[in-house]
Amino acid sequence: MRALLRDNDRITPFELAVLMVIVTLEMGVTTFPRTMTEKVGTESWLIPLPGFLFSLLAVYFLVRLSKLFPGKTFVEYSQEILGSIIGKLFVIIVIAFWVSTSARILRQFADVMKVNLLFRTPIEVIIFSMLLFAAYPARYGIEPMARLAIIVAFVTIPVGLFLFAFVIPQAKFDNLLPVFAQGPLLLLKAGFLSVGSLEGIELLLVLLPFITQPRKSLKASTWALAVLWSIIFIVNGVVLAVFGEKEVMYLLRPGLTIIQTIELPTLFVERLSSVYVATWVALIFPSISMFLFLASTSLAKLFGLKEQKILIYPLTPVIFALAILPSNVLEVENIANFLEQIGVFIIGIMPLFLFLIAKIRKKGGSY
Amino acid sequence: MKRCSYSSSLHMKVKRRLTLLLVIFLFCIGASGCWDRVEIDERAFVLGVAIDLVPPSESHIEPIPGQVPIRDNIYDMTVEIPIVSQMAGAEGGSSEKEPNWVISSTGADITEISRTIMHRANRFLFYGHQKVLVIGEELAKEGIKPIIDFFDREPETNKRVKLIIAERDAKETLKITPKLSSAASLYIFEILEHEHRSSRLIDSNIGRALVSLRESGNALLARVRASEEEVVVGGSAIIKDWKLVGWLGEIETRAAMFVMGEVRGGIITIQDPRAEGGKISLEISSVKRIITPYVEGDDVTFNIEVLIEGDITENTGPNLTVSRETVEIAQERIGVLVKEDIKSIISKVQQEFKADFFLFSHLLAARRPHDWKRLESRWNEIFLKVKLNIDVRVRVRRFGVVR
Repeated sequence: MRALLRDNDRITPFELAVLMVIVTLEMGVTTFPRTMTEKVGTESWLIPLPGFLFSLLAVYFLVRLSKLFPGKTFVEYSQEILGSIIGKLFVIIVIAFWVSTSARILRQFADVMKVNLLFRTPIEVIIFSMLLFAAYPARYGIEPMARLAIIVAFVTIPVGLFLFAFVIPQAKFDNLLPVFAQGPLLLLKAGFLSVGSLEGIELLLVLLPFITQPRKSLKASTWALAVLWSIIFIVNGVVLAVFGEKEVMYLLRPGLTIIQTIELPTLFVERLSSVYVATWVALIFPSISMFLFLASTSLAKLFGLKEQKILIYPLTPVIFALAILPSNVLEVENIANFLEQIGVFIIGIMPLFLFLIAKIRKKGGSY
Repeated sequence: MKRCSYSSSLHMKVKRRLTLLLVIFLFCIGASGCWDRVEIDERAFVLGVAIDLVPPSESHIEPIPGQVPIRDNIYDMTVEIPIVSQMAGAEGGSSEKEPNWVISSTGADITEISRTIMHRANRFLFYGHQKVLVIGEELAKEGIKPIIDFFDREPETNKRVKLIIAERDAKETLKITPKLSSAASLYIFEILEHEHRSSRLIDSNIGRALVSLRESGNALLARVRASEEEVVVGGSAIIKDWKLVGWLGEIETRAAMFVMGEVRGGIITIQDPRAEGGKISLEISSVKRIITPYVEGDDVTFNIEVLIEGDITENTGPNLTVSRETVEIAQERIGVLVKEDIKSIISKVQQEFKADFFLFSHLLAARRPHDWKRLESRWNEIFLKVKLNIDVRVRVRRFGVVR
């Protein structure tokens, strides 16, 4: 009987790729066109090019690190590389980042739901119910969550892109110009900073030892990045082409508002935005689950516990409290910006840094 | 040993059942969505909103106590709400009563008036199906920025709501009873949706207008005028720095739309020079517009190429058949006509209104970013001297079922 069941702590490279995509597609993507346009103006639709390169570098070094320390997660190898104290500090920063990022996503989600669908429901109820449902699969390990992510991905992403296709007739491609007017440096910098909002890459810190075919993990995560950046490219490009530079910077969530511009001659569903918001519910659910899982697994490894399961429910009140804490949307946005910078530190800088130190101090395996 | 495993599996079963019950229970609470339920009969669907300025002498709203009295605009907002119970009966066409309720109230801002109307109608005003937003002439002259903010911020309102400027009072446009539509708002909305039938009116919705307004403060919006039983939707209103500065006639609007590349259809009629009273009409089937800016020092030139394709729908020339000569005459004369229209509208806009609603500035910023940086601060002067090379080509493709 037992032999027929798969273990719940191993995932295939394909499942890893889907997880990476689905974890990254959270509420941040809807604000992405605005934050990027604020940085580089009309060139923001080009950010996926440098962004892909920088994120690929991060993924490459994370995979190399996991090859240096086979079977170990970042909790173990960063302590080996950086020494026990600094290593632990880094691990704690990352865990705090995951906990506060899931709180940030929950809060943004709750605010969107309150504005668009659930006007009178207190956000505490929205956040609590979402957190409860997200905590449930996180207790059962990585494999059930991967399957969940596949179901969610193959339902929501096609629906989302299908709705998006109706927006394209509104696009005016003059809005995408000028390009390369400010020199490549600004674009490269923005591309590097955009890596901070690709939370999917952080999965590699923990999940690489759990892949069934470790050799394929680099290929799988490259594919995940390609799909992700293509989605971001489409969303960013279309949003900018429809709204133009000034309006994109004015809208709070251009990625959501765009759906309201759809013009169909015989539109029997008048308010497509409700359908669209509903797809976001499904999209953020695996992200929060995954962050809970990552945080609890790393904490368990840090304290030398055998099971991560028991840490899930103790973590939920912390996330709930953090999600309730900001007093308004503006504060949430500031926190999101701050967290993005921490993300740049974790994904953009640390993998290369850890790899170099490991090489210099000759830690890890033979190659 | 055996008994032990049996009892533990029984225990598991009970636990599973309980979990399932709990999940079903939670699902019932979560999925029914009672919390935010608003019954359909508690809602009033706003179809159209018209906003006018109350003349200062007529406003009798007390200043808020403890605040310095400032000169503040008082708005008069009118909403059109379909009476749902009446709508069902109106199918037979024998309904005596009005199918819609047009209700007005005054106040200092839109939210406040909206709430007043909510109380008066005793219904929850729902803006998700709003079709039009009509702004009165006097108010538009004061500026439309404070009016649009509410509709822009409100998450229910979609960006397809038509933004229209009314000649004289806006509320009159919602008070008419159209013959073939069930509501005035729907009537105006549908006319604008079919803008391509003549291209003499501009289909302006909030989403697109705001893109243009935020880019430069200028925009071209639809114009509407109420008469007894119908509304005249045609021509356009020129907005400069969010304020109404003038009107364009129907032919002028079409010419402006040629420049902006938004003409999709319509009829152009010319005199046939070979006979008195002979006319040729062309129905536009497609229009291509290519616009290219050239900059030399402070001289800005725009090359505008317009390629019109169409079918001859009427030909009352001398020998009544469409000959090669007829086609050539139509192609040439229509081209000249459109070119003259475009020239005159641009010189009018440059000299009279001084408003760059064609978004030439945006085009320059997109295609010539370096020149734009240099000219940006002086654009208002430079725009007045912008030169145009207009090239209109017309191609007749078909001419009906007779020769």
